[in-house]
Amino acid sequence: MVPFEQGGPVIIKPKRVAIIGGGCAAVATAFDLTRPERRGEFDVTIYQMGHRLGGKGASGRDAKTGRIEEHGLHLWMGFYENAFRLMREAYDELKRPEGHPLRNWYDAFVPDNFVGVTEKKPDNQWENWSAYFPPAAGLPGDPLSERNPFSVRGYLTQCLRLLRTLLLSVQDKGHIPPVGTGNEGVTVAATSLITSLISTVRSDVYGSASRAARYGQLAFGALILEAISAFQWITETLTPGSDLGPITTLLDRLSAAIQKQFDLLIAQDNELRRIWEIVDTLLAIVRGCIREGVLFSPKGFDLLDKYDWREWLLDHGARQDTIDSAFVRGSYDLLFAFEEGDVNRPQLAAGQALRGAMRMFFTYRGALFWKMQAGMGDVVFAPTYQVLKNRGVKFEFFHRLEHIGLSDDTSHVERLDFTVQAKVKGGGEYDPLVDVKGLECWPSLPVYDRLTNGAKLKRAGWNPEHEDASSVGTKQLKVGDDFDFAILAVGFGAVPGLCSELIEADPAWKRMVGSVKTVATQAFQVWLNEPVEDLGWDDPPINISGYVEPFDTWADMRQLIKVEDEKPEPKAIAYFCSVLPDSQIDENAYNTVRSNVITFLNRDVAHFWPKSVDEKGFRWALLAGSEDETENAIDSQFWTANTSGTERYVLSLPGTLDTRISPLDDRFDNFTIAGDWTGCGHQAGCVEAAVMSGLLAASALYVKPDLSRIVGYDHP
Amino acid sequence: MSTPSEQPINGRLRRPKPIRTEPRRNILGAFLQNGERGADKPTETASRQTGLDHHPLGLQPDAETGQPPHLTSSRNQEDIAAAANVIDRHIRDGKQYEIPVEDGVWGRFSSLAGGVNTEDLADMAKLLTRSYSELASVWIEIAGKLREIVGSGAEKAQSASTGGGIAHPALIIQSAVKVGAKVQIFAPGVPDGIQPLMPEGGGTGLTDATLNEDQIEIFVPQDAQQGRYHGLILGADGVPLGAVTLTIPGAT
Ligand SMILES: Cc1cc2nc3c(=O)[nH]c(=O)nc-3n(C[C@H](O)[C@H](O)[C@H](O)COP(=O)(O)OP(=O)(O)OC[C@H]3O[C@@H](n4cnc5c(N)ncnc54)[C@H](O)[C@@H]3O)c2cc1C
Repeated sequence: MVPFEQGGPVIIKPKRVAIIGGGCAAVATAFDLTRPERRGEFDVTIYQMGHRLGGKGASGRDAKTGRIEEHGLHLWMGFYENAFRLMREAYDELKRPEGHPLRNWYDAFVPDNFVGVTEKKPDNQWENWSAYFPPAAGLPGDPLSERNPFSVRGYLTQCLRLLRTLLLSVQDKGHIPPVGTGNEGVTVAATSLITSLISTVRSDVYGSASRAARYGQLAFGALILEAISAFQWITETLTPGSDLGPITTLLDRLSAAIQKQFDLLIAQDNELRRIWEIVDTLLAIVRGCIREGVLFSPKGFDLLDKYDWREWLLDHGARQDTIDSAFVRGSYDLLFAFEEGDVNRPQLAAGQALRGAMRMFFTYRGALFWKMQAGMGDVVFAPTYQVLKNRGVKFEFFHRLEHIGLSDDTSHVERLDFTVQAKVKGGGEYDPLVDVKGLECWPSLPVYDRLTNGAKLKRAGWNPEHEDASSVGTKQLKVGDDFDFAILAVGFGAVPGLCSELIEADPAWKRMVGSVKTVATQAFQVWLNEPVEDLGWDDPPINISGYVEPFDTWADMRQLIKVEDEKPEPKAIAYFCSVLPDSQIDENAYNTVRSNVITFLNRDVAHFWPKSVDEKGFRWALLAGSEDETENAIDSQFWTANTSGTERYVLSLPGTLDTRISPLDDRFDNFTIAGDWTGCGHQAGCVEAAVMSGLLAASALYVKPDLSRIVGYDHP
Repeated sequence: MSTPSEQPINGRLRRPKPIRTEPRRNILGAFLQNGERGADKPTETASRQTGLDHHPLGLQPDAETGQPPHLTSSRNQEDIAAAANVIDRHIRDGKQYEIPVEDGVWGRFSSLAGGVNTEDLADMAKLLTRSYSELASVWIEIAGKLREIVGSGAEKAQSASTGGGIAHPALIIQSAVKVGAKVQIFAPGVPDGIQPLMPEGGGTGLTDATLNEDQIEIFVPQDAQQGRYHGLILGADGVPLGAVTLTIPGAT
């Protein structure tokens, strides 16, 4: 706060902060700046284009059916400590009344322990592999004093738990005899040792007491293989001059024999093969980290960000099958990691991939995934909006930023130029929420009758999120008059267009804008008249990725039926999403996605729901809310092409992450940034990164920021 | 309550100067590993455990040469020692970037939340360093072992051999039938138990196998089926240290 004299007592004037954008990062920034313990130090206004908060995480409700329409499928992970803490605090502060459909945070987020991947077998058939991840101690957002997962013990414990679970899924398939390797005694000895170790692992005669040891045995067998390659590496790299020919030849034979043994086992046993792929990945990680000295490097895993994840694994001895496995490919699908949306160009920075995988698998609390029990807008952005409003945050909806102007000496942001897209009827602030079955929700389109000329806008189907939407005026905010600090929290794709002066003035900005890339996404949702079980899906409700393009990921969203308002109620809801190749982006992208959906339902969905198709293709009558039995029934469903700049998903490409500017960087002295694209410690497009970035942006305005509260910021 | 950096300058405010702008990725810093401030000065044992003041694998350097100690009894071990040096260098390099105790982040949060104290955190750091050393040590040790086996041919592999300095329990077999047996130790550590020996190809195992002090005792019942049996020798926490292989030959 600024104290200044007025001929008597010191008057404390709050610092005025303009936040542009209303996604996860912006909301986290506002939430932190206005914490009650800051005692009104900041006076915050959020400027948001269109009618709703949420950005890439926005969802809306269809006016007639109350159907949830998402920007794209969103799952929260059990390691989102900062994001969950924010949500828990928001729900606590809101104190919703008894009987409210989402009264507490745990009504809104429900653990989901099943994760699946789809993989192509050698015979070109697709097969699903679903794994159960056991609940881990604690809940995301709990204080770290309670079973801190970020301790060595925490990592090790969780690692063991996971291996145990995976190994438990291996059924005893009987003993497979060792492969005869001819004349080499050592080879035979080692081979039979490993075979017997594996066979011991698989015989569960001694019950749980000796289980732990047996898991060790499988790892032990693997360790011998590991040791051979370690030895080879040592002989190859550290003493290049010495004549080790005969030894390495022998080692090669030994290694090949053991590998053959594994291959034989793996080939006969899918479960074991998958586990081996995971073990092989872990071994390559350990090997790579030891070789490159990662663990003790001041850069931590960042050291590896110049490499692509799969190439790095391959370099450190992972087998080709492993890096082609669903397990590894799944990480690319999860992060839409395909340059220009081209699935033939997977690219993911190895360091961030490794950090993400470690956080995901080893530090989750509660469950690996958490599923929202309504739209992300309803679950995340409505309650946070309400809390912020109660705290006095002002919201200027229908304000689209067009340009950021710097001072002549380029030291600070002097003005913010906006287009005003609509005016609120009768003046005042726009009331953005609607009620659906007692739940505060964002509508998919503006509440037109709260706007000036609302009837006309409604007739025209005016959508302020469309880039060419009409507007009603402009507004300029000036530093000193209207704001003291500005925080840019738009999606990265919008940054170059808004920040030409910043890019011109600062080489670091130029570098970042030149290297950080984004990708468009496509998503669709269907409401079905039959449960997926009747269509041939036998497993529990699932989130499954790794499937064929155009839509590699499916999530079963049946939990939403009860919060929607469709009559008669549908029997199933399914969400699909994927990247959208840049080559498919033009003014017809929306129609292109429509065709992609039709193709996928006719051609590909049968893998999940065999009975949803007949000889002609998809049974269109399955789609709820339509009488049409042709493919035009798809028009009763929902799909989206997320192609505009701010909607595009930010990629974690190798060699680019170190160009990201941090919200803490003081490049313009009254300005900072927030978003999943900033240097926020976890450089991946996800809710947690956006929230971490928001907390950093708020910290940038504090005199004594306590960065230690941002869980995982200082993670290696 | 405001600092000079927040004072209006030409009528406007500017951001406070950031204390830092990047995450601290160094693992020792994150776990509050520090020898000078905060944490107690490491005792002889503790520093050997962390490996920061001594060899990373917890072994004393050669008194005369100051070189890394010999890890195996194999003759050509320069390369193994060189590998150990790589690990050593990584840990020492890391130590240069340690972060003062009061700035360590996970720890600070934890202590704010009233949980883990500085000592615990220093312990965690020690544990981390030790785990890493142990991992590397097993890794290098096995490599050495294999080299030894491979280098000296098949016969040697059949014999009960151990690496230098590795505890090697004696084997006592009570059996009415003639058996052959060997102990192979692959990793350093104090044996803590032995698993029942399981036959290759499945079937009834030899369940009466115990480890008493430094002695493995196995009872082979008269009706035990012929074949080769394997059982793991386990260290504390069930970590495998080696294997016992017992052969009951068929009737000749
Ligand atoms: C299809 C899809 C699926 C995803 N799935 C997941 C998932 O399962 N789990 C997960 O954790 N993450 C997921 N993500 C990523 C996640 O959505 C983002 O990381 C996160 O929402 C980014 O938040 P943000 O605040 O950084 O940016 P955004 O959400 O993009 O917010 C930017 C805000 O700025 C506003 N804005 C833009 N331009 C202007 C302007 N000129 N003037 C005013 N306002 C403007 C936007 O309207 C928006 O409100 C997914 C993303 C996509 C695209």
